Amino acid sequence: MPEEVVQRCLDLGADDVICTRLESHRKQIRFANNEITASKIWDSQAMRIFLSMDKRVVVTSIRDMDNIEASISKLIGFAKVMGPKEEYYGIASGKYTYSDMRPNDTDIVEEDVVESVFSIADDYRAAGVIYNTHSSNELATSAGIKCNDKGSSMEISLRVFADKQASGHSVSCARNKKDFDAEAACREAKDIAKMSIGAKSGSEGRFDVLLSPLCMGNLIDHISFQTSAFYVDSGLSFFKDKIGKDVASPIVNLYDDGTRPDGLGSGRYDEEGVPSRKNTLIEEGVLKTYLHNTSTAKKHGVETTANAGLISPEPTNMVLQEGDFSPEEMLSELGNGLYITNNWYTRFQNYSTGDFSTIPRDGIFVVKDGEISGSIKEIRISDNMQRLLLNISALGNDPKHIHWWEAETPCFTPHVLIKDVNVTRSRG
Amino acid sequence: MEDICSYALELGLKRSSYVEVKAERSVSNEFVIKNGQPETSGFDSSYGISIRLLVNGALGFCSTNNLEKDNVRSMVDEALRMARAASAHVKKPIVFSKEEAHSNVKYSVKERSRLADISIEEKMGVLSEIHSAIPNDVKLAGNLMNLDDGLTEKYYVNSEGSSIRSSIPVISFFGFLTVVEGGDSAQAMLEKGAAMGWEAISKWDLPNYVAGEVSTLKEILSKGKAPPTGNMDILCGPEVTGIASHESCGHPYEADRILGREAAQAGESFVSIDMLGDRIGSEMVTLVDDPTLENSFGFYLYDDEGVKARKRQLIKDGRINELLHNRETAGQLGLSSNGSARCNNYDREPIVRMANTYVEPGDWKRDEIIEETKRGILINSFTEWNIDDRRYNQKYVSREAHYIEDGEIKYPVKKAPLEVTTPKFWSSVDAIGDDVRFFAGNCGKGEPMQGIPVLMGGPTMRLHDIQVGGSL
Repeated sequence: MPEEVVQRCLDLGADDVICTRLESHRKQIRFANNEITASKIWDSQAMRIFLSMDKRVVVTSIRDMDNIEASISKLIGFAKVMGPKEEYYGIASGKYTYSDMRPNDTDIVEEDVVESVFSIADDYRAAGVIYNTHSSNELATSAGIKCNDKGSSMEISLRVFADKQASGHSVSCARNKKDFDAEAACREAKDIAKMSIGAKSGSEGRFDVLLSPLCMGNLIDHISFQTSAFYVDSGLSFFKDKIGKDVASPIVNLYDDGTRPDGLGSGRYDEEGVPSRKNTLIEEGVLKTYLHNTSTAKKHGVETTANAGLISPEPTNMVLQEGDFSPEEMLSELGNGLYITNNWYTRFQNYSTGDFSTIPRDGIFVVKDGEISGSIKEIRISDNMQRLLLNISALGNDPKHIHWWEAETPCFTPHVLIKDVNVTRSRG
Repeated sequence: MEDICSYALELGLKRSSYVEVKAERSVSNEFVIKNGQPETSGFDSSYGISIRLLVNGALGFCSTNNLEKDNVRSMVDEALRMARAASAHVKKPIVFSKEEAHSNVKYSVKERSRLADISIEEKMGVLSEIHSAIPNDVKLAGNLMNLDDGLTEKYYVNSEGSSIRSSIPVISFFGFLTVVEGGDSAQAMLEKGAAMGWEAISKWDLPNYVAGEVSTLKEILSKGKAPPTGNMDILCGPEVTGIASHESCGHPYEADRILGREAAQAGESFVSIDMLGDRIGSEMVTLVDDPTLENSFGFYLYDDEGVKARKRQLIKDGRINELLHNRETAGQLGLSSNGSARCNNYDREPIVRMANTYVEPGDWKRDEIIEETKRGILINSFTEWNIDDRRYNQKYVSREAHYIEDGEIKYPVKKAPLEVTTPKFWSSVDAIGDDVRFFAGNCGKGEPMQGIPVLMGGPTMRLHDIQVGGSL
């Protein structure tokens, strides 16, 4: 089917064409207050067509599957009258070899998993969501590329409340059920909730801060999009003009890795059919590359990083290389400061400078002499993302797979210690 | 649409106490320029159905865009199976509030100039015109602008006799512009949105709107001073009044948050059910949410559970007056829904949402408020903002702000921060203008995420004696 669509578009005058047919079957159970609140199932088919005609570039996503021919005609009509995209430099071509498909095992009974969560939460309140997803796609391009992929995943994101303002959050994300541990996630969230009881209002000031993988996952999510050449070229990235320059502490190595068998963002190829790869974005603190598709790569005079996104290069799995410190050693290394277990609502004042703020939520702990001495609430990190990356001073040896409502890009990150972070709070 | 909906409804009703089916066909076109050059433009089209049902107090939901009867049957079977499995764990059965059925309802938004009749060249031409209108003396480090338009046709039917058909066109503009000046930079995220036809373009006058905003940013960058600190009055322009209405009143009054259903995602609320009637703001504050505003971005006349929409007074004379409900939250509390159930596509469940949220006008003129201010900052617009997941601690950083002393605007201010609790914000209001304006936005909530069009607005409003400081 994608091959037929590609040929049809070529017959109608297109120069470059990429067609992908996608199918997915997804289950979700939502729960709150130790009750299942909704059980859902989605069955979806879609077709994505990208084409160029004399550098006029258009794209469509079709879920109205009875009208594909009409959509193709409309798309060609768009291309014929659109102005040329001067910075368009074509799609991938070549004979590629793809990794073998790895079967995933997500054979779980979702209701039983949720029941076990309720049992562990016991007299605390648990809320969250569990997904079980099966998806497949096949892709064909006018450059002769044909490929297909399929995979499955399971994930749970849950929050446990000891009281109205004492909560903990955790996730478990996996491609195979041997790596999926909802009960451990629930126990972690419950432990954090229990430790958060009686939190006092926090103070503003500058603190050394230990971020949990969940919290760092949210920040990496925002960082990941700013490594996309599209956002760099749009003036929406503090990484602009910084290739080869120090953008993080020398202990920081950050990768985009679409090949990890365990990564929720992994696949055999990108949206142009280029085999997935592992890219070093930051090496010992130095920015090495942006994320590219074929067209943005040619504009920047480099090779594609296999991150198409046909409009905008996109991250796959972000991987922050772990360090040597155990969780206990990270607390000792922090000495005095704050341990933040989760955050949300990260918003930039200026993407080109990196000024932003984000709000810690769930357990926020005061650390004295390397030990947790109490919990606080109602603070905000108001700082600069570039500065935070440069101020990273230690990395844990405990990378965790993070993907949830506030971390759209799957990532693997350990605990991270950052020096001298600006904390603000409401004035009255 | 009707045939497949009737088929699914009958299938579901054989084994459940309540069923609703929604079919939706939508097309949305997107036109994009980046740094003045055409980017990748295109369109999305979708057509599918969802079925939601109750089985022994458990809620099942399924959706598909494969409308072959065999597939629809298997989807309904699976939703029933999952709901039945969930019902074995139910301690408090889900009960929907009792609501009037509305049968054979049909409504639409009339377009004076049909979006579908406007050529692609003309739509792209609007973006080029906006870009050309940016003054030569304003230096941009980057800009990205979208013009989107679309049409959504819905057919809703439930097992209680409701059948509602709607057709709503939507047009929106989004611009992200970075202005640089004297080694500093600032960004503007500009948005317009309405349920109307192409006539919106002339109403919005986008070239002047965008040119004005970037010129203002240039002036702030070149002449702005650091914000003063200490206690002073804060004058919120309509854009700031609007975002605060949305974030610190609309969201915490969503009953599903209060009852914990969104706890693991968007969070809960500092408001509890027993706070109805409590004072939350000064007496002059009345804040509403109204989906029925004609041509508004959040417009609808019947919500996505078939309940007739109406204006909701969330704060009345400074007191918590009403929460936002769908049939699930209203049923849990023994109330009636006030028509706040919305979903952003056929494949999403209807949850409690805002529509158009704003502060009702007062009797002050904006100039009078400025003249009567001894020392303060007028924050006309904002960039960075956020609020905690109980909707209690919020922050807005100014895009455009001015220092006021002895009733006069003295000089522009850069990046003035307003970081304040919700009760402090609303109880500090001591003057409300008559200059209500609205601003478009896409509100995020739900899992999977459902971005939904809303308006936020209100008049210029003064907060008395606010402590300013604590920014970078």
